[in-house]
Amino acid sequence: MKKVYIYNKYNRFWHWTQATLIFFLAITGLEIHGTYSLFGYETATFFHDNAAWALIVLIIFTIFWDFAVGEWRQYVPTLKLMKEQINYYIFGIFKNAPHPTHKTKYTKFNPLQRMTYFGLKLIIIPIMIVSGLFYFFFFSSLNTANQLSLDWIAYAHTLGAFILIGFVIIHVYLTTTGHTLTSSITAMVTGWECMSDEDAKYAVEEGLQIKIAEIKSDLYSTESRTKLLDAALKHVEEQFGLSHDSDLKAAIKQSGVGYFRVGKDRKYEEVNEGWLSLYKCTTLSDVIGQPLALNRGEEDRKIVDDIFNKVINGETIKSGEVKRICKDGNVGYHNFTASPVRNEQNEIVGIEGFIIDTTNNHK
Amino acid sequence: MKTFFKLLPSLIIPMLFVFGIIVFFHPKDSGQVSISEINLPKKADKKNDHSQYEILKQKFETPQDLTKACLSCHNKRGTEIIKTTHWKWTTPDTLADGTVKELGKKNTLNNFCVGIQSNDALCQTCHIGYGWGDKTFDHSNVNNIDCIVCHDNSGKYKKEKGKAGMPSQTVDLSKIAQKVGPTKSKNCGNCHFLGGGGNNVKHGDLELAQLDAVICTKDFDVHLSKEGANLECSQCHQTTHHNISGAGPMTNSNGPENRVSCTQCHTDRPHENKMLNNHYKKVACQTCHISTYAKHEKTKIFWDWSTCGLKNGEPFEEISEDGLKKSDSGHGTAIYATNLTPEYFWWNGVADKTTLETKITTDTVDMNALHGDYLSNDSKIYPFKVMRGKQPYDTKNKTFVQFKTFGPKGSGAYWSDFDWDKSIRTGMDYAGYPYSGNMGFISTRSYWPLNHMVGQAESALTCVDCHSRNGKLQNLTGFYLPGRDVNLLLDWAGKLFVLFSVLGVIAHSTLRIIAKSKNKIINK
Repeated sequence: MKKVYIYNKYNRFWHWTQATLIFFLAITGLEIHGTYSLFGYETATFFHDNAAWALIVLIIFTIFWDFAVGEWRQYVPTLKLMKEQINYYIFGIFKNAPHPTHKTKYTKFNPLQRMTYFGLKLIIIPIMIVSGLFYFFFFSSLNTANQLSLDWIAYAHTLGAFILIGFVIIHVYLTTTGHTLTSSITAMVTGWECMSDEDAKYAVEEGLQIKIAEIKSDLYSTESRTKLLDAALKHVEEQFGLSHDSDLKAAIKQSGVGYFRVGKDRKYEEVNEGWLSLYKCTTLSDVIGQPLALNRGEEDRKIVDDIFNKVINGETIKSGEVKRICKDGNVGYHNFTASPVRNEQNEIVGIEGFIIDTTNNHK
Repeated sequence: MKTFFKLLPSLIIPMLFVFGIIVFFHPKDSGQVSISEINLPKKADKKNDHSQYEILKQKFETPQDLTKACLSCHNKRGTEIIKTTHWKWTTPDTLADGTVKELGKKNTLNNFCVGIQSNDALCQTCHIGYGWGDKTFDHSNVNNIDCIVCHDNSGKYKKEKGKAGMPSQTVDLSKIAQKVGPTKSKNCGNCHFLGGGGNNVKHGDLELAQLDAVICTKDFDVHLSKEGANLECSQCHQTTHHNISGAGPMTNSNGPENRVSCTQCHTDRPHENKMLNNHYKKVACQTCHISTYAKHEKTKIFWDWSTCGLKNGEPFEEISEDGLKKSDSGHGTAIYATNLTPEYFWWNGVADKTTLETKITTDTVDMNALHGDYLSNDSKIYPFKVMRGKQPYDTKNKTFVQFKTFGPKGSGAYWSDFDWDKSIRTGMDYAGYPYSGNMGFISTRSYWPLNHMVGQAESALTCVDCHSRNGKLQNLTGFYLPGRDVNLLLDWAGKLFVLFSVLGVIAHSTLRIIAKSKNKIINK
C-alpha cells in the first residue's frame, strides 16, 4: 500500500467549500420549502441567499481555474472503460476484483464519474443557479409589463434540489469503494490517497511521463532552452572544475588585496576577506551598511568624499592613496582603485575597487 | 494522521471565512426610512378664539341660524362642503366596466341595515347636515350644513337619533359655537366608530377604545396611541377644501384617487430588510401590520334577517350568555366577535357596488365583490373583515330589495309592524323600483378593508405566518407561495428518488459485507 498525491490544495478547498455550501443550502432550502422549521423562515431565507451567492462566486472562480490550469479536461465524458466500470460496481466489487480504472492526479475520475460530474456541471448546477437567480430577483422583476408566476421557477429549483440530494447520498457512499473504506475521503482532506502498490506505480509512472512531456514542450521556447543550457554548462563546469573564475578567486585571496563595493548611499555593500584583514575587522557585520566615512580621520573624510563624488559621476580612478584608521585604532595607508558599478540599465549604482596596503612605505 | 490535522486548518479557515460572510453579511436596503426620520404631518393648530365673536353669542333659534353665522365669515366653505362625499353621500364611481355613476351610501346596499332609502330620518343622524329626512331635502342649501358636528371642540355636541341629523334639544348651540376648532378624532369617531348601530359594529378596526389613553397602547393602535404617534385622524386623512382623503370600497369611490396610504409617511421601502420591502409589490402594509382587529369592543360579523318576526305574536329578544349572539324580532340574528384574525384577498382597489338594479346570479352574493388577482400588476393582498349575512331579496325579479325598517307603527316600518311584505313595498315604492311581491332570503358577504389598529412593528406577522403549510394565506390560492405550496407530483417523485438512493446504498453495502465475509472463508 502506497500513498499518491492526487488532490492539490485548490481541489480540496473547492471540494469541501462546495460540499459544505450545498449541504447548508439543502438544510435552509428545505426549510424554505416548508418541510420543517429550524432557523426560522426569515433567517433561513437570509442564509440561503447569502450561501447561494457564495456558491456562485466559488463556481465562477472554479470554472476560471479549471480552464486556466487545464483541469477541465478531467470532466470530458468518455465511453472508454464505461462498461468495465459499471460491471465493476455490479459484479467485480463483490469478487474483490481490481478497479478497472486507475486514479491519478491527471485522471482523477472514472468514466462514470466523468459522466456524472459533467451532467452536474452542465445541467443540474446551471438549472439551480438560473432558477435560483429567477427566484431571487422574482420580486424586483415584477412590473406592469411583467407579471411572472413563481411556480415553474420553484418547481425547477425543487427538482434540482432533489437530484442533488440523491447525488450526495450516492456520492458519499461511493467514497467507501476505494482501496480502504476511508482512503478516498482521507485523500480529499490530505491530498494523498492510499492505493495498492500496482495502482500507485501506475500513478507515479503516469506522473513522470506527463512531467517529462511538459518539460519537453517547455523546451520549445528559447528562453527556457537558454536557461537549460546555462544550467547544464554550469553543472559540467562544477563537476569537472573547468571554471577559470575559481583560479582568479584563489589568486585574489592569496595576494591579500582588499575588495570593496560602496552603494550610492555611501555605505559599504560588500568587502572581501583581504579588506577585512587590512582594516583589522573580524566579521562582515562590522562593515556592511556602515558609512564610507567610518574609518577615516577628520581631514581624510573630505578626500574620500571627493573621490566618491568623482567616481559616482562616471570617472574611474586607477591609482591613489588614502589613510585609514583600523578597527584597533592604528593608522594605515593603502593604494586604491575605484570604478563605478553599473546595473543592467547602465545606471551607476555605486563604486567598487581594490586596495593594496602601503603602510610600510610610510614608516 | 498527523498530516490530516496539519491540513485541516488550511481547509477550515477559508471555510470559516466563507461562512462568516454568509452569517454576518447583512445587506441593508438603502431606501430605508426609519421611524425617527418620519416628518409627522402637522396637527391643525390654528386657534382662533371663537368666544370673542359677537355673532356667536346670540341665542340661535334653529341650527341653520348657527350655520348662517359660521358662513358669514367662512363664506366660501359652504360651496366647498356641498361638493363633498360627506355631504352628498355619493361620489362619481368608476365601475369595473369603466362606466361612471354617482354612487354612495345614498343608493348602494350593504348587508347590515341594507340601505338608507325610506329610513332617512334614522340613517341620516350621521349626515353632516340638518333635516335630510326624506327625498325633499335640499342638498343645495348651504344653511343645512352641520358645521358643528365636525368642529365642536367642547365634546358636548350631540345629534338626536332618528331626527335626520338635527341636534339634540339639550344642546346649547351658542356655547358650543364659541368653542369650535379643528376637527378632532372624536368628531370623526362620532359617526365612524359608532356606525351600524353601535361602537365598532361596522368596521371592526374603528372603535372608541382607540381614543382611550389607557386601553389604546402602542400595540393596540400605534398611530392613535397617546404613547405612540398620538396622531389625529386628520393628520393621515389629509384634507383640501373640506375634501377629506380616504375612501372605502363599500360605498365610496373606486380607484387610487383620494385614498390614504401608509407610504405618505413611511415610503414604500420602510424596512431594513430588502426582502421585506420587496413584498410591497404584492402585499399591502396592513396585511402584516394588522394581525388582529376588534381588539376591545366586539364587532358584528354575521346578520341574518331571516330569523326576524314575532314569537307567538309577541316581540322577543334573546342574548347569549357571553353577549356575542343576539336574536330579536326586528333584527333577526346577529353574531359578534372580538380579537379577530383578518381574512385575506387580492385587491386592486376596485370593488363592485350593489344597488337595487343589481341582478342576483349566485347563491351567495358579494355586495362589494373585490377586483384584482395575483396576476394583475396593481393587486396586492389586503386584510379584510368579512361581514356575512342573509337578507331579503325579490325571488322573481332577482334583485335585492330596500325595506323600510324605521318609522312609527302603521308606516310599514318593519321594526314597528313586523310585516315583510308591507315593509318591502314601502321601501321599494320610496326608492322607485318594482317589487314582484315574492320575497326570500339570500346569503351575502361584504368586505371591509382593515386599515387601522396597526400595532407596533414587533406585533406584525412574521414570515412563517404565511410561508407555512397551514398559514394565514392557505385559502388564497392561484399563486405559488414558498413554504406553503408544493407540486405534489414533484415532491413525491423527489422523495422516492432520495428513498431509492438510500435503499440502493443499503442494498449495495449489505451485498459488499456479505461478499467480503465469503471471500475471507474462501481465502482461509
